[in-house]
Amino acid sequence: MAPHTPASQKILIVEDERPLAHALELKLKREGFDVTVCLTGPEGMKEALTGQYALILLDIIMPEVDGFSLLQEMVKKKVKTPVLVLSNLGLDEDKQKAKGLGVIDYFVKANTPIASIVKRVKAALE
Amino acid sequence: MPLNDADLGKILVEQSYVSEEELKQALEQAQQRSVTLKVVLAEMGLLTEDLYESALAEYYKLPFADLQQVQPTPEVVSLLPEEIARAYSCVVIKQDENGVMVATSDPSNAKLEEGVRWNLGQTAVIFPDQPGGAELAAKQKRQKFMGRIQFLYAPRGAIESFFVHYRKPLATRFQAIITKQRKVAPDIIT
Repeated sequence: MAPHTPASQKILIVEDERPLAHALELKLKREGFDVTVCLTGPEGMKEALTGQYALILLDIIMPEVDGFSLLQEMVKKKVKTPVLVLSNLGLDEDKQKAKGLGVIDYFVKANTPIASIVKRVKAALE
Repeated sequence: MPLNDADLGKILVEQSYVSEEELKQALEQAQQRSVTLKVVLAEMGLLTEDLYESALAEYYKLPFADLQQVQPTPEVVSLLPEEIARAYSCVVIKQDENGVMVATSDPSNAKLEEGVRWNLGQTAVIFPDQPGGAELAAKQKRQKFMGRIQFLYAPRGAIESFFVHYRKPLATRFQAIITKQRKVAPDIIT
């Protein structure tokens, strides 16, 4: 089996804040990952359910389909892709709800430098 | 001290917040319209205030201050005079036997550390670049703070939220007005 180099690892970003999605995309590409960005919940849902990603970075508050709905659908369809949540929601109950749906980590955007997110992605995929 | 467009562009490309091509386009627009690079990048949907601050923190290699975890008391905040805190966009968030932790949103200011060292624990302010500042400090026999200062990065909004600790109680402020004006009632009553 070929070793998992970043280039062979596909990351999906589901985030409706375009500037943040763009910066994450550039940074992760610089690290050698193959990155796909979805700026809406429905697009993100479609991609996430393919199960072809090594990791998903997921926003929670999005119009049409929010992050929790996407996570619930992943559980229902038994898609086991690891998910890191990026959210403006900092309440413990939101974190617990996300953890209950299997996310591996939960970042509150206002308290998290973007470099820490990239570091966490790399650690999760090592 | 705000960064100029060239410096900001360099930081954003180096830290992979924008591509070289995007920067080139944005710089051209900024020049044509006589607006700042920051404004154009925001309009292009490539930069927010949070991302701008995140890029600066990375560039200056400062850790982020977790101001939800470290909540400074009014006494700790007041270790720096308000004028210095506002001028350098900084706030003391912790003090221990070894020194202090200072959060700033303006790490590019070359006078920041000097300003903090001269004014920590003081009430009268001396700016490092103030004419006659050194003489004034000598006259006051002021000792520069020589302990450890750990600088951390925090967004401007978070720094400014601690300035509320400089607000004196209403009675004190009212007394200051009376002392200054020597009267409280408007002329029509007196």
